Amino acid sequence: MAWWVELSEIVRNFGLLGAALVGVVLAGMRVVAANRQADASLRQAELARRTHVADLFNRAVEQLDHDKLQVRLGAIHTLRQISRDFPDLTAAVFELLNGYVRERAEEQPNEELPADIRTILEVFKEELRS
Amino acid sequence: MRKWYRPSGRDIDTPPLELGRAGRRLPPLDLHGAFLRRADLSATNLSRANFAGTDFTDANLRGSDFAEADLRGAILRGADLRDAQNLTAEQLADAVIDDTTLLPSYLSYEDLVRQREGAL
Repeated sequence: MAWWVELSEIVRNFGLLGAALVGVVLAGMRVVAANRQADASLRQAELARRTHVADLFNRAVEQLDHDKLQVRLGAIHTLRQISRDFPDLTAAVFELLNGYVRERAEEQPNEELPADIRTILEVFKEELRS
Repeated sequence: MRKWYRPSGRDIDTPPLELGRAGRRLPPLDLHGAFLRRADLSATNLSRANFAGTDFTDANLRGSDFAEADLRGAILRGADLRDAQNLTAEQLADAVIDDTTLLPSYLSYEDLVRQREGAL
């Protein structure tokens, strides 16, 4: 009779061990799935952010051509902010503003630099502080 | 007739990048031909910048770094270049300067004029 009790205990313990292992595997699978979902959500959020920045960038580029100085100044400040927040876009912003200055910085009757050119030079100074 | 060719890595002419704020790599300034009278670009890294033909009359360029900057034809009358770094007589040889240009202590207007006259 005693050996029967011992055997049943061994079987029960193995059963518990098996159940525990299955539980661990299932929990692991759940963690992996949750991680993948979190990664996918992060990628999606990053993609949405980049799309938003691309929209901002394109709108700012269009506004640089606007007749009103205030609109152009707003575009320059937007580009300055994009350059600060997205280092991988800094070079693109920089080249764009260089081109703007070359095109727009023409002789002024009162010899004072226009506000848009002055603001761009401030951006250059800020980025290229020696 | 247009000649087609397959571009190789050697055909791509990418300008060297400058180290900007927070270690960001930036293309050098290219403001050639711009009218920048009284501009303030003091204490700025202007290495490898293209200022060919730029009008910097009365501009504040004090303490800026001009290493390998192109100043050919740049107008520097009345410009403040005091404490400028890496500025050479060769760079200023084709720039427009006069006795109102404020030069760094290691360059003098007289020397530049003499050098120019010697080259003629």
